[in-house]
Formats: sequence, C-alpha cells, structure tokens
Amino acid sequence: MKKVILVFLLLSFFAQKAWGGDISQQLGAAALEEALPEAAGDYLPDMTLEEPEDLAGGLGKIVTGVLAEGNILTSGVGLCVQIASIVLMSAAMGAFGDSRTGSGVKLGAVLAVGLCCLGQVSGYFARVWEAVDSISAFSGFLFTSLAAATAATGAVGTSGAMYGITAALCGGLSRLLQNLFFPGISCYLALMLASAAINDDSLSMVGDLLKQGLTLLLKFGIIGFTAYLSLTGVIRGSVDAASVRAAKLAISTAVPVVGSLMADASETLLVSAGLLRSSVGIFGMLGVLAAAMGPFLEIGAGYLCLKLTAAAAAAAGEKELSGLISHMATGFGLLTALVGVVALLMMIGCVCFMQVGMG
Amino acid sequence: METVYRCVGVAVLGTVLALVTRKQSGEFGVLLTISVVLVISALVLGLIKPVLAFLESLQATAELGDGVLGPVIKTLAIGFLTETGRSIAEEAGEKTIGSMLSLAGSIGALYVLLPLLQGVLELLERLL
Repeated sequence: MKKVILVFLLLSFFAQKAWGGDISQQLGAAALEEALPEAAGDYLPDMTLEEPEDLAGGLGKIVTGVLAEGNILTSGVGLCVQIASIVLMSAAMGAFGDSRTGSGVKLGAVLAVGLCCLGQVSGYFARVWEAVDSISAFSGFLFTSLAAATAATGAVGTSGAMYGITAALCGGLSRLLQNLFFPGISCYLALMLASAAINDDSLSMVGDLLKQGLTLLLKFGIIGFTAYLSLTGVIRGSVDAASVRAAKLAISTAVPVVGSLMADASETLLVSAGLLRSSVGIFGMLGVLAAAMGPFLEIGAGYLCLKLTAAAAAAAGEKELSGLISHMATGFGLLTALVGVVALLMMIGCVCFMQVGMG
Repeated sequence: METVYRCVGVAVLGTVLALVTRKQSGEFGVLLTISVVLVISALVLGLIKPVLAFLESLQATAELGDGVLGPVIKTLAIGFLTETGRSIAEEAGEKTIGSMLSLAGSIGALYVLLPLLQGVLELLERLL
C-alpha cells in the first residue's frame, strides 16, 4: 500500500512539475501539516511547512513549552512523596516490632510501594503509547513526502531503499510496543516486586535477564537502523569534533539505560544537522521532537525522583525497599529510553533522506 | 517521657511481685503478669494516638488512599497483639497456644494485606 502511495506521489509530483505547480502542494503539504502531532501545534503554533522554525529555535520553544506546562515534575514528585511516606512509616513501625511483626510490615510496605509505582507506570504507558502513535502516524506522511522529494532529485534507488526501511519502522513500532516492550517492562516490574515481597534473589535475577534482553533489543534497533543506512551509503559528512563530544556526553548522561548507545548513534544526527536546509525535514524533525519531548522529560523526571527516593530509603536503613524502588526506577528508565530511541530513529531517518536529497 | 517512666515503674513493680507470688501460687503470678501487660498497654495507648495522627497527616500530605497505608498499620497492630498474647501464653507454659496465636497472627496479617495484593495484581493484569 505504501509503495502504491509512493508511486502515486511520484507520478503526481512529476505531473504537477510539468504543469508548474507549487512544490509544497505537490508533496502533500496539507496532509503532512494535518498529521503534525497535537503537541507540536501547542508548542509551535505558528509553524507551517512553508515557514518552519529554525531547528535550534524550535527546539528551544518546545523545551520552554513543555516546562511551562508545569506538570513535568508533578507526577514524579507526587510519587516520590508517596513512596517516601511509606518508607518512613515502614522504618518507624519496624523499629517497634520484633522480626515477625517487622516482616509483615515489610511485606505491606513492599506491596504499597508496588501499588503506587505500578499505578504511575500505567499512566506512563498511556503517555508513551500516545506519543509513539502520533510520531508513527506523522512519520508515515513525513517519510512519504521526503521519499518523493528525494526521488525527484534523481536518487530513486536510494530513496526507495530508505523508504522501505523507514516505512517498516513506522508500521512496526506500535506493534513492538504493544506486544513486546510494554509487556516486557510490566513483567520486569512484576518480577522485581515479587522478588522483594518474598525476599528471593532468584526472581530478581530473572528480572535482570529480562531487562538486559529489552535493553539489547533497543540497542539492536539503533545499531541495525544506522548500520542499514550506512550500508546504503546515506550516512556521511563531518562536523566539529568538540561539539559532537559535548552533545554525546549530554545525551549519554541524560538518557538512562541506553544513553551511551544513543549518544553514539546521535553522531549521525549531529553530523547531518548542520546541513539541514530542507523545510520539510526541519518541519518533520520539530514535529517528532515536540511529540516526544513531553513524555521523555516527564518520565525522565519520574526516573530521577525514584532514584533519589531509593537513595533516601537506603539512608533510612530500608535496604530492601531501597532495592525495590531502584528497580522500579529502572523500569521508568526503560520507558524513557524507549521514547528517546523512537524519536532518535525517526530523526535519523529524516536527516538521511535530506542528505540523499542534497546529493 | 512521663508515660515511659510510668511503664518502667509498673514493669519493675510487676516483675518483683510476680517473682514473690510465683513461689506461693503460680496461677496468681500469671494473672499478675497479664494485669501488668494490660496496665502498660493502657498507658502506651495515650502515646499511640499522636503517632497515628502524624501518620494520618503524612497520608494526607502524600495523598495516599486508605487502601494503601491502612493494611500496613493494621498488620503492625496484629503483630503487636499476637506477640503480646504469645508471650503471655508462653509465660504460662502454654507454648502450643502461643504458637497457634503466632500462626493466627500471620494469617491475620496476610488477610489484612489481601486488598493490597489484589490491587497490585489488578494493576499488573491491566498492564499485561
């Protein structure tokens, strides 16, 4: 179906080119603008396909817009206060009772912490699902437009190959989330919760194995995608080494779980970012960024808050609860990484199309 | 602090009396022990009220529902009660009754924690 759309767009492009039509209309500008994620409309209300914001300015507006909403920290801090209260009560009550009473209270505290965290994860799943769904839908239109524009420059073969992989990526993302990552993260959290409740390390080892599997899948996603694009010869260019190092350090520090790998993959993006001139490309990248930034920052803040709470719980002498909270934070980290990886893959695809388009 | 002094006083007096009377009549010693335990519990009850009030305010601040913290507090109460009962039974030489009381306490704690467990399972079911 997507190939038919591509052929149709190519035909309409050449036909209208012959009639001297406007380029933005030829590339299905209206459809692309309509598919722009809702968040992008909120943060960049004046952006149009003909006059997109510049990349740095647009990114600044998105971050400012997300921060201005003021709910980035609300959910994370709320959860942090709830868990800290449970830890405080558990520590206070544990001081009174003997070992039998203490183990009962501990089990109660573990279940209470689990209930709070799982409730939050449920909300985060909905946020991630919404963001990835809108990015996926938008990218479908975006890559079709970019493929048509790239093919028009003469690089029909490369454009087709890239469209194939990016279309497969867009189509597969939602299914991967629903059938693999969400159940995987839920299983990981359930295993860690059960391990803390019955105080058995073997369950937590299975959970760790599951986490490593999910992390590897995310890493293979990035490596596979960039390797394929490298093989097709669309990734190239050079950029100031110091700025690449600074950006890579920032990404590897900010993104949990797969930060270092994302930093490596982001070099591709950084190398090409300076070359961006195409309005469709910048429009697309800002659209993807706007959709991903809110959930990324919100879940990332939740991750940091939980890590802080885990440290505080350890300081209060509640080592078991601290371990559980830390594992819950890892689950949040996986979700944050998931949003980051999806946005990164889409932006790399976008940049590669533009590089091919520029020859 | 005064309450703690009183508790210690009652405990010391009770222990001395129990030691003296146990030689004369073992049954009276047990009754005396139970009485001392009840008096100390009554004295401590006054201290528990502000602690519970603090826990309630903490619960309100953290916006935690009764369903989350209630079971944990009830578990603690069950633990205290069954432990006291078990100690008294063992003091009277009834170890079997003490063990049964401990078992009853464990089952009671599990029963009280069931809503929490159910909530976790429901959430997991929804997530999976």
